Amino acid sequence: MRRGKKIAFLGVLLGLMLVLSLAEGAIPPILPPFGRIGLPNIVVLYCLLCLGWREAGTMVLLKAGFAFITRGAVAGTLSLSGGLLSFGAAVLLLVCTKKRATLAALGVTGAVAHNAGQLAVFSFWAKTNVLPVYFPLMLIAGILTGFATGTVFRLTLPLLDRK
Amino acid sequence: MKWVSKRDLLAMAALLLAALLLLFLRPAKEDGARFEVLAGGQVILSGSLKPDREFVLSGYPGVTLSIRDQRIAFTRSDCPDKTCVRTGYISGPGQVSACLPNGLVVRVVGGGGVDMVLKRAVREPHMECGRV
Repeated sequence: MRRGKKIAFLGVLLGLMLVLSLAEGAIPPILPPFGRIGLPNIVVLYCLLCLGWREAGTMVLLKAGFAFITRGAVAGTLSLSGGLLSFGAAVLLLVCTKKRATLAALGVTGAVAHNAGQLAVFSFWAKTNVLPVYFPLMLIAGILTGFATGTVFRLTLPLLDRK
Repeated sequence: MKWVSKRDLLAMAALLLAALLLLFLRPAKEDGARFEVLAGGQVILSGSLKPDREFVLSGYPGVTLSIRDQRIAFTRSDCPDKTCVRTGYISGPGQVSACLPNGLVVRVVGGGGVDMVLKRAVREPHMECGRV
């Protein structure tokens, strides 16, 4: 892809990611605080698998930056920690399995890591360690929502490839 | 790429089972439970969950806390996201509701103190955090 075209494409993807995160925020979480489905993660997964890890990492950073500007330091760090951790976990999984990880596994790993990262940052802001209390729920929600995003990604992949 | 493998399903089922087991090993509601309000990590107020009442925190004129049926909730807040209000009532020891923009955390503690509480359980999660 030519440079200009790629930048435009990444811009569109970032826009999609922000809209997805907004739409998701409008739905009350099924299981607060982890009930969010994690739709923006699909875009990150797409970047990771079809474009490269640099592009995916950039998306995570830009989204956190956007949250930081529009919703403040708390939301920004929550987005950054969750995003970076789920991104890191997905990359690690791909490397460990020599790129043979399934989409469902990628989704679940990302979602659980995302929740763990956000809980850690939440504990930091609230100066209250909530990790032990929320661990089981974090795991359950991560598995369910991660499986859902992996499945949605599987369904959208053929459409995206058609370009 | 493959969607899902048998190994994935097995791993997910095992993890789900383990998590559910952890959940059910924990008590939910406790008589004589108390609440604590923390600002910046320091306990600024604590009290009983009886009787039912409603109060404004001193120093935080925009925040109202309500206690009903031994449960406590943020019912009004001047913060932009209102996640604390949407969290609703919390009751079990260890449950947390937070208004991060105001730096406020409300938690329910049992008779055993904070360390016991952290090892104890929640059946419903309630806090401000989520996919951002």
